[in-house]
Amino acid sequence: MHIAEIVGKNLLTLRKEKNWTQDEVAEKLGVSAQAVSKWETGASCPDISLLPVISDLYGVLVDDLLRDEEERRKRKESVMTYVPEEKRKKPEELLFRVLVDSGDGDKVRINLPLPLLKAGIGFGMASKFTSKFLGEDALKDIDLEQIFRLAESGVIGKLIEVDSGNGDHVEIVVE
Amino acid sequence: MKIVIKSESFHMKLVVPSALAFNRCMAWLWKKLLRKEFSEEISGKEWRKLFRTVRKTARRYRGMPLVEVEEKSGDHVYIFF
Repeated sequence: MHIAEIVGKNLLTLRKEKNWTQDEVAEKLGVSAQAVSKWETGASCPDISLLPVISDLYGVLVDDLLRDEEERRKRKESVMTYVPEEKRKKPEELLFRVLVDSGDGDKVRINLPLPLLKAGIGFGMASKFTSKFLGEDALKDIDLEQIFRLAESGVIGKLIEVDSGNGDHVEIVVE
Repeated sequence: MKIVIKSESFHMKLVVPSALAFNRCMAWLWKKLLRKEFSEEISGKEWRKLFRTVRKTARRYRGMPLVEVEEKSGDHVYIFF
């Protein structure tokens, strides 16, 4: 997809989310409604100097405007990012995902909502779980409490990636 | 909570109401089991607190896969909230 179409699609989605009309957006940005219409249909791209203004208006990063949904999702999963407090999700909306691809071809995916992890950490169950029940596994030295604190303080994305000697691959992603 | 087990010759879907799987009685059973099998001491109160959170989370994330296991042999196990 051409970059103008990607930006246009993102702008349209963001405007609809906010329930704004093209006229309202045009007024906020100090441009004509026709210009906004052209951006959204992918006929033209907003000027580069306007991108930070648009991103502030919609409360997203400039980078988010330039990438399609699939790319944004992959990027979110692959990069550890800090989310400022005002843009941060509530801790109870965060998801703690453990992805294990074992060397012998088995796959395990665990999706743990953060409140559940918090409850486990609350009485030391998480540390008992990793140290005792996972034994010699690559996960045994992972401090889940630290990960939880990181997520609570706004650090999300791929927090841990471990490749063990026997071919196991473990990722811990907070999203 | 739904448990799905799939293999070439076997397919099972088990629906367990959260209120049945995570109640005071199960908390007591888990406490005893852990003490007996793993010499771990987690009090009944802590289990009940955890189970309360599980029930609450299950309501909020109804239908979301909690655990997905796909074995190389083709067997699949899914646990959904």
